[in-house]
Amino acid sequence: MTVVTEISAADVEKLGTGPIPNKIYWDPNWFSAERDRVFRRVWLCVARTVDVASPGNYIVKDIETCRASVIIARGRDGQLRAFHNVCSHRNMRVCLDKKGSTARFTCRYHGFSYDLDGQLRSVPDEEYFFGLDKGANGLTPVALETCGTFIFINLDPKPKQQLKEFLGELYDRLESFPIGDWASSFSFGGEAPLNWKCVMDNFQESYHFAFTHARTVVDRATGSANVFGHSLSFEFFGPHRVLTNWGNLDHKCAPVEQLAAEYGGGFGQSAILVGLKDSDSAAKRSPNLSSYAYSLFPNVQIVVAPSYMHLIQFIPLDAETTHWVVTMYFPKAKSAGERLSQEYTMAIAKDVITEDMSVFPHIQDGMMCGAKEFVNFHRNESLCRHLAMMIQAYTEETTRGQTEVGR
Amino acid sequence: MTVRPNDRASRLPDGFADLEPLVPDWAVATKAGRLKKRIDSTAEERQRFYDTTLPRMRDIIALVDQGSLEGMSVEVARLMQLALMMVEISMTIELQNPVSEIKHAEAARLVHVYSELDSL
Repeated sequence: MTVVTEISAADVEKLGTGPIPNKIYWDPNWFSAERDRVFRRVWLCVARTVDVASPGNYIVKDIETCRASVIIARGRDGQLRAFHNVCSHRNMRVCLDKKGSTARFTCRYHGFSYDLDGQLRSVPDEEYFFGLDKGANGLTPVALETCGTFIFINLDPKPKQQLKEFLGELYDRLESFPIGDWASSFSFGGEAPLNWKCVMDNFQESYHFAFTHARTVVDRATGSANVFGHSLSFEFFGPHRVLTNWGNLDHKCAPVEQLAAEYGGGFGQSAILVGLKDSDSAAKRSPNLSSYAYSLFPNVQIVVAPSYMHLIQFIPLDAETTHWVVTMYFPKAKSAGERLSQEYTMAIAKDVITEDMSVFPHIQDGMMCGAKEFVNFHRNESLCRHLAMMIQAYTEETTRGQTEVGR
Repeated sequence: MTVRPNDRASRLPDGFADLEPLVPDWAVATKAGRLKKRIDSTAEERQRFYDTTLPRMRDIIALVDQGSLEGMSVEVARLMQLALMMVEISMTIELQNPVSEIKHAEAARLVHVYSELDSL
């Protein structure tokens, strides 16, 4: 038996079926174009508003791809602002902590001090400078916009698109995510010796579940009714894409897993999210719907179910290396059982991703040794094909405005 | 009331004296610490911990839920830490097997925990 993935005929036609040149996953020139035309230009989802909930709260997000470090701070006025984490004096990183609460950012090198709104407030021994204009030497702003509880930044000093335009139809959906008060977070990550798109692709297809995850998710995500774990649906929105995962309702839980499921209302419950603005279809009403996975162009995936959410960032360090960061968000646990269930979700996610890490080191060499020129995507890897198409469209884009791409 | 031989640092709430010998090794406050304990322990140690703790899991949850998750006593917190450790250890027994767990441990040493869940 099998599940036939819901996908529109127009999307099938647009995606094509041919092999994809593997060069896009290793060529350093291609990577330079991705960095300059994608990572330095488009909106990047980096955090949630709950990460910087109160005035004085800040987080620092590194976009190593562009050697950028960005401070996101909530001012005394409640406004969220983003700045390059670079001192105007000798260009030292101003803030070396990754999160915290403060009234000012003071550079450790010579003590330049900046307010939460980026203004340069004090310069030690200021009179000895040569007429330093403090008003013109604040922290350099970075464009910041939010959609619902998601924070996006754009490293382009003058973004060509507003966030709403960039997200298109997905804007309303992200804004309607019923997760506003999910503020408890757990974050882990690592470095993979693999191109960022390949790492991301691993998270946008379920074809590998039965093999790579033969010990963990296989019986949760495949079953006699869906032997290869086909996704329930694929949808495409400009450069972004969404899939819904199928869950095996016949899965028999092991003892601790059973406790986690019972106390957390977790496993075996349909993931239909009340309040989520979504397309209405058989797949979205399926009792087997186990989670939604939103891939936001270029490098973020948001997985959401009724009791948890992950935000995964795939940050390229170079053409062959990716820093991946998973941040899992939960509602604040109200009981020991709920907390235990959250621990289970964290533990199994970590085990599953650790299994993925065991295949990551064995792909890049295969693509770079010259034996093959192409990769061949399966129907269940349609989202991987779409990412390849979109990155080609953006990277080859030189004359047309970005708004035309992927529409 | 009988005086228990255990160190105060291993004390658990009344009714859980049988789990007190587990406290020094297995009651760990952070997820990063619990992961480290998992990959540094032997399969036999994990199986013993699992077999001892499994029959008490529902009792632990019921006891912790008599109070609030915030501001629990150190004794109750230790008990909760054992339950959370049990989740981590269950991965090695209910999902992985002795062979796959060795591979897991190799890869898990490369995983970094950046921030912990704020609630215990």
